[in-house]
Amino acid sequence: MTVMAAAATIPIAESQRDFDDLYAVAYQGLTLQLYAYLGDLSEAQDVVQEAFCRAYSKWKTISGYQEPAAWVRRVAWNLATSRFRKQKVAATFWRKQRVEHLEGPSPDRVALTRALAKIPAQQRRAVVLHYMAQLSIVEIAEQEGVAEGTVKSWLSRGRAALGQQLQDRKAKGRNDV
Amino acid sequence: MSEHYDELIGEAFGEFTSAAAPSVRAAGTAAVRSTVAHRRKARLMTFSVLGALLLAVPVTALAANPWGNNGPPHMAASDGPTTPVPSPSAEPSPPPPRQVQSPDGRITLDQLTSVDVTVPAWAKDFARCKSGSVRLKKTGPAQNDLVVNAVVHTNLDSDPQLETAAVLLCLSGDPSPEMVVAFDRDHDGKIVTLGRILGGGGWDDVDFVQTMSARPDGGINVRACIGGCGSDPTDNMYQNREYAWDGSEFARVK
Repeated sequence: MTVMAAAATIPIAESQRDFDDLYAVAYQGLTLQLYAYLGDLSEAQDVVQEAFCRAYSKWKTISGYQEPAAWVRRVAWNLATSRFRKQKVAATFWRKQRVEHLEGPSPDRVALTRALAKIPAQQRRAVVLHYMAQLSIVEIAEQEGVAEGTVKSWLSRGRAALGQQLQDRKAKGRNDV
Repeated sequence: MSEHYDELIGEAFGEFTSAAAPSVRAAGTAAVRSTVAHRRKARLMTFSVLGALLLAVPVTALAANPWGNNGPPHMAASDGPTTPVPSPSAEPSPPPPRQVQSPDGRITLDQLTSVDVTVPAWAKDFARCKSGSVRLKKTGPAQNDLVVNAVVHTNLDSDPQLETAAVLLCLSGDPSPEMVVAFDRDHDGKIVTLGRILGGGGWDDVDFVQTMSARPDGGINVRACIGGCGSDPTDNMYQNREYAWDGSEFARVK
């Protein structure tokens, strides 16, 4: 005998609204995080849009997760990391930092992206996730698949390197004035 | 010092967010739905074509054999012969083969890399990877050449003979996409391509195949990395999948 359990299904319209809500809430913040990491807004937008496409294609499953936003964030960061490792993108990143330094509209944005460009990718990920995504060390460790101690080390070194650069830049700015 | 840096960095990120936020343009959820629908359609078409080819082979062979009690042989020129044929479907049917036994589709690495074979097209992002008539390599080729990473002999259709599934790697940088392709032999012993099973660099496809083995009931088991895999294995998500001939098409069954 087959016993049919009453399935706790979510109505399709409601599920679609959930997806739209997640997109509305998470898209911009995630894009800014990846812009800081990649140094390229267009690339960041593509990566986040792609992560949402992947989420939508599996939405029936992902919407049942406790934190669908965390899934999207992890996929987007994986995609960004993967793209960044391509030699071409990495080269573009450095070139863009130089170009932005000369022509960028916002000195503050330039200062940060240039400083971030000079620290190793792992430290940069940890710093962006901590300061922009407001993730705890435990959450970063979970996303990155590493021990908490590793994240602490990345964060500590990244903070020191980034802080030193920003401080030097600030001092130079004061002297120039 | 650490607290001072904390403040400095927090301030810099705050300024960055304020300055950059107005520039962010969201393509929107309509674009997400459109992209996913397009990909689903494209994938369905791929499987339909492959399914139709695999279905057509035994049917044609059965028609050529009035007794129909031998293993349905594969006909040449159904898809991807070792040398491209412009319009296989427009060609007149070849005369019924004298040999009606299915050819042995078990192809070794040496055999697969010693002749030109037809490789299906890669996804748009990896169009630089070779497709069409290609000489596959065993190892260490130049950029964008195709390396055979693994070969498995298994039953990929409805006849009892075994065919060959091969993992092809395109060395195009990081990531380097992979495609699993089904190969068989025609009655002349030439290697023919049955089609793409999975992979190929599509955004919605697997990133790479970590392992592949024959399923006991036919088809293949693969352990695949999904969701934007990087070179750091601790960072990746893996899935165990199974693909097999389900009677009408070659599809993911688990």
